[in-house]
Amino acid sequence: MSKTTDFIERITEKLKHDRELRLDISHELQTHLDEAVEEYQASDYSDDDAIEAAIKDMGDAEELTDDLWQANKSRMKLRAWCWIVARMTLMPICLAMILAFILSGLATLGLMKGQSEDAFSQGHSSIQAWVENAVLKQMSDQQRLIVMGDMNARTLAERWKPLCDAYPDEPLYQLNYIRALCLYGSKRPQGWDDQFLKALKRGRKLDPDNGIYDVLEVSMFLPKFEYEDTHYAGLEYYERCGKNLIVRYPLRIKENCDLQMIGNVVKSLEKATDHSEISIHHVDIVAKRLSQLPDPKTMREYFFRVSLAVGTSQMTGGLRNLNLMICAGAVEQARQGNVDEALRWLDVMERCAQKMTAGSQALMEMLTMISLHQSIGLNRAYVYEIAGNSVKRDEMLASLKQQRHLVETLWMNPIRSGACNDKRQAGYFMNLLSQNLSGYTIDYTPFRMSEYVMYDRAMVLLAMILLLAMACICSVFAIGRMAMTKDASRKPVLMWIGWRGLFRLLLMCILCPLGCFSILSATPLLGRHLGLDNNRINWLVYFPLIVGMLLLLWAQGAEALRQRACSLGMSVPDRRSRWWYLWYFLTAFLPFVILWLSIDLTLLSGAWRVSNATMAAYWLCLIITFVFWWYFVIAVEIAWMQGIDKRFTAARKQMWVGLIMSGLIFSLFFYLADKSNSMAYQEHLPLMLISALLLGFLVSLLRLGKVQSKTHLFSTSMLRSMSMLLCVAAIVLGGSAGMVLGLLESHYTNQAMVISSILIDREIPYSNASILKKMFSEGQLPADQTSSDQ
Amino acid sequence: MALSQELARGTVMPIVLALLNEQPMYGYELVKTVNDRTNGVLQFKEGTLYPLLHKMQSQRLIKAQWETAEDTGKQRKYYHITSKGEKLLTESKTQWQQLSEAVNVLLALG
Repeated sequence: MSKTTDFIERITEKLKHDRELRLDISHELQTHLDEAVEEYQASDYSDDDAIEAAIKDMGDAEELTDDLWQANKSRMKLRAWCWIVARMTLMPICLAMILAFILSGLATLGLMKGQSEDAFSQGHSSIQAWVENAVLKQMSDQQRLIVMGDMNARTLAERWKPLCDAYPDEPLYQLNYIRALCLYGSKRPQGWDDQFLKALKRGRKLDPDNGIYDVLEVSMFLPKFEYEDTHYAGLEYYERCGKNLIVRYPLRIKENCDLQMIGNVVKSLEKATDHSEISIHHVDIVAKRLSQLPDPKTMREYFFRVSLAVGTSQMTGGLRNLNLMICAGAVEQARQGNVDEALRWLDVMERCAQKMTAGSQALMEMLTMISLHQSIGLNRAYVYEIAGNSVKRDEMLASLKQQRHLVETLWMNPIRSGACNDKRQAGYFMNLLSQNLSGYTIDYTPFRMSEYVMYDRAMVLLAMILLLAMACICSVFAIGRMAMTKDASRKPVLMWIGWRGLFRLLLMCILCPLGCFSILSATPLLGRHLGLDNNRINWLVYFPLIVGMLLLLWAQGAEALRQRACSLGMSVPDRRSRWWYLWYFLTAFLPFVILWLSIDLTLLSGAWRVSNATMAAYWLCLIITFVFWWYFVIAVEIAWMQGIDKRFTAARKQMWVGLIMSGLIFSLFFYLADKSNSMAYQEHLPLMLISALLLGFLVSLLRLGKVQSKTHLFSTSMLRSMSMLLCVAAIVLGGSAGMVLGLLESHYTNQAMVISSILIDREIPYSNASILKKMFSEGQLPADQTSSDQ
Repeated sequence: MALSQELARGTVMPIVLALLNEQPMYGYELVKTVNDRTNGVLQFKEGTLYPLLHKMQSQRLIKAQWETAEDTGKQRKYYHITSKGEKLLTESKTQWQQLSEAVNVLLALG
């Protein structure tokens, strides 16, 4: 170490808590001493004498140290206190964080365990299975049988048979078993017919007023037919984008078109419609099972039980196939010239569907009935066409188109965009639909709404896998770094980033999970299904969080670069003017702004969705935006780091302006997205934002490596930054696991509360139902979760 | 003849402001300019200059910026006077004027 460096080190020793200030002063004093030395050398001083003289001119080192400290006292005192506090608190926090991370990893492993294909296909993610298992463990064998059936069974029929046998006089359990038998579809085991008929007989005897047994009986014949082009089944009868009416090729039975057999089926359906009701008793079966359990100890336990009971109940099975058969048969009759008989068959099916709609207790049942109505209507139109009655055909198609439009504009589109979270709106829609479907009594309840959120848990599983992978990568990386670091024994935790880096990291640990979760909440498969709303007020919270995340990521990257560059004494000859930076900014944002405005205009003009090509361009623009953004940030940071030109200070200011501008633009964007109910934005933007951000960061660093042509700078900057990013990502994802679990629990609770409200309305005798009723009456539960939407 | 340390102390800040009011300067340049212009009567102890500059910076009287010298290409930290500094300089000048006149009167009596 040279004498001047040693001298500077000594006099800046007291400023060690502020590395930036110390570097700045050191640099300034160094330039001062260099000039002084040069001048002495010019006056014929020897090198050593010149240095001695220059140092002597600076005065007493101790006095100078104190003076410098005094001059920056206010700033340094705060930093010193932070330093002390950080030393005392960061290590325990860091240890706690690592422990939490390990626990999170273990929890993830636990969640991954026991995941089977069956569970997945039934819409149960491993998280659900994990929570459910915890609840079920507390129950007795008998209680578990009531709630879950035989949990080791391979099929649904095997699952519910023991419950059916245990309560032979309970009609609801018999019905439950019959429905499970129907779900075998075409893969019926040997002896299925006997089992089915026996169960039907028992059910009919116990519940003679319900026509459902006649309907289910004919489902025995269903697998015996094969159809051409069943995919469309008459349900997709016009293109969404073009709005042009396209009638699909109607159903045609491939072979064995036994019209006599279909006629018998129709007779059976006619018999079913003579009964006072046709109902699958979806909610009643759940309620019955719950009523047989002893009183739960806590409200939480009760909620879980309700949720479990609903999760294991089955939806309508086989009705669509039944409808296919009748419709195909009717069309075949019409082809053979028996138009009246064809229309009669369709009428019978329609009456049956109407009665089932009236008796349906769940959203999916009801939606199935509506789709049956559409299918029957379309086939009716085709029968009219065969009969040459074009007037009636057109009337029928126009009516169907109107209904379809109603479904899409009031139901499908809002529910996908998240705007239909308000259950009152859903109720309004149902009532409106009811008015347009003559003969159909639609009994909307919030339970149907809650049921909708039971599906598509795949994203949760995916997030968990990602989490585990990240955790593994980071662990390996950390261990590797630790092994390579000589002073690992001294600071094994902080060796990558130092105290300040860790402090920022901790801050990120607080902000990033919140930010990440806010992003996750906007994804359709996870956040919305966990009950989070995506509305303007929420975005007011989300947006600063996301900006905070970006800033912190930027700070982390910049700090890594700065530290490394300072330690290398780097000089980056980047002479670009501020106009270059402005150019980067405009290049990045202008196309994006133009594109999204065009998308918005498209969506606001009423189109249901934008084309794939536009979406691809949108994604591309988004990626480019963030690549450039990061490049911009890093380039400015490097320039600032060297402090070579005031232009860079201006550029840095511009960056802030840019950030504010982008904030405003994003606000506008979210406002428009919200206004247009745009599924496209809300589904893709947040995920793209994160991936593009990471990609951009990577590209910026690669670019930096080229600029420097110093491999060690490139590699170390890269390693430091990426290791930090990975570490943060792992911790964030680790933290998110806990949040996901927590929110899943609250989702269970919400759903169960809605279901409970149904049970209360039906006056099901169940002890906690009365507690909930009291809570409702005292206004402790949200009003829109009651069944007041009818 | 160098001025006594005590007498010089109170004048350093206005002098720095006055020099920076002419043009932005870096630390070494400030020291040299003062020494040259006063023929060594006023001598800045180089070490004391930097704490003073930092103090003035924290009081927002001056601001600093790293710049590249056009002639040599060297990076130096240039200090610029702020509007607050200019205001203080005007006040200091007036005060100095008054003080100087008063002292002259008193010294003339002796």
